Order: sequence, then C-alpha cells, then structure tokens
Amino acid sequence: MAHNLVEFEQHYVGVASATSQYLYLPPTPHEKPALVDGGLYCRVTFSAAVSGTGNLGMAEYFFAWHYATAYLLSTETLDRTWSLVTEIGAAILTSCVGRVNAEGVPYIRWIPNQDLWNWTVRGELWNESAD
Amino acid sequence: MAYNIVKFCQYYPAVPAVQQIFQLPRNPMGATTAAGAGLYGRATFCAALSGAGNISMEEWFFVFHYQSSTQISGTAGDRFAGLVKAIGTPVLAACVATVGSYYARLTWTPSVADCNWIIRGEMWTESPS
Repeated sequence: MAHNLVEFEQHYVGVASATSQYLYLPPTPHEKPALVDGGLYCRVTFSAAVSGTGNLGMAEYFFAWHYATAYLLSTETLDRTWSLVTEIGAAILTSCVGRVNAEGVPYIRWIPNQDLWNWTVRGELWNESAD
Repeated sequence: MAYNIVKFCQYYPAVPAVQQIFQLPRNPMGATTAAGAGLYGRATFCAALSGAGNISMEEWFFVFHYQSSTQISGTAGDRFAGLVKAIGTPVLAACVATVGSYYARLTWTPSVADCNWIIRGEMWTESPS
C-alpha cells in the first residue's frame, strides 16, 4: 500500500465577486491507481485580502470523493461530500462546493464574496493506492 | 529549544466495527522533553466503503501530558481528544485519547464494518534542545 499526497497552491489577483472559480484537482495523486473502494480526500484553505483595514479572511474546507474506477471519481451525487471547517475574518466565500465532471475529474467551484481581492488557495490531496 | 514534528499515515482495509488502537510514537523525532510538557496533534480519519454515499472524513485534535521526559501520563485528566469537523456519512462511533505503557494512543471504534480507513495527521512537542 502507498499513501499518496500532493500539496497545491494557487494565487489569484483581483478576483471579481460573484464569479464562479474552478479549481480542478488530479483524480489520482502521483498518478497511481487508486483503490476502487477508497476515497480521495482534500483539505483546502482559502485566504483573501485587499488593501484597507480589516479586509482579510480565511476559510478552511474539507472534501471527500469516492472512486468509481482506479483512475476516476464517481459522478454520483451521494459519492462526494464537503463542508466548511471554520472561517475567520471577513466572509470571503459566497459558495464553495465539491464536484466531479462528466469524465470523473474532481473540482472545486468557489465564488468570492468580495470584489477584486487577492487570493491564495492552498491545500493537500491524498488517497491510498495498491502499489 | 527544538520543534519536533512527526507526520503519520496508516491504511486499514476492511476494518470490523470493533474497537481499534492507533498507537503514536512516544517521543516525536526522539525528542527528550520534560515533565509537564505536552504532546499535541491532529488526526484525520478518512473512510470509504463500496456503495453510493459511503464516504467520510473526520478531523480530531488530541493532547497528552508528559509525566517525565519520556513517559506519557496515565492520569485521566492529562489527555483529551476532540472532534474538529466531520463530513459525509458518520462511520466513527468514538475516538478517545488513551495511554498504554506510557504510549499515547487513539482508541477508535468504527460504527460501520468493512470500511477502508486512512488515518493521517501530525503530532508535535517541544524539547529543550
């Protein structure tokens, strides 16, 4: 068995509020075949700021998806779950959800609550593979 | 002062719904700490089972107290584990901080049999050098 973990970080400058943003994730960390009865798990921390007093915030989310095959996630609605863990400072997100596209690739759709702030989105993604 | 941190990950396939023990290293990085110091950490329990909807993730914080430079206290009030967040289908009936032979442990009990579990996290303590 191998534990596969990838870390990621994305920066976004001047993101418009109320616009959907899409963060696509690799279905299999390190491209190793996943256990079909296993899951893909993710922790993401969103942070955003803009000049001016008090204009900053952080929010952490958990995500979990279920594999349909060794390389792709299930597209069944019941096979994915996510939730806000905690947030501090300004409310920076209007919405943040975990999804899977028609090809079985996971992604996160997030919508900023603040206009033209600068964002750092970082997190980690992991699963278990048979090798 | 030294900052000692250890990351851990364990995979448990098809676990029955009976009590399990996850034993942690007694001293992260071989650190020699002191009586009264703390051992702190977070553990994320991840579980999946075949069939739609069977996916779960829970994060727990845990703390233990050292009674000497190498031994975890066995006193009941010297250890705690608390749930941070749970998402998905509930499959963990309990997670309790326990101590055995001076080792810190997380004693956990699945509420659903045959899930495939990942327990990953990190733990840390301070040492004088």
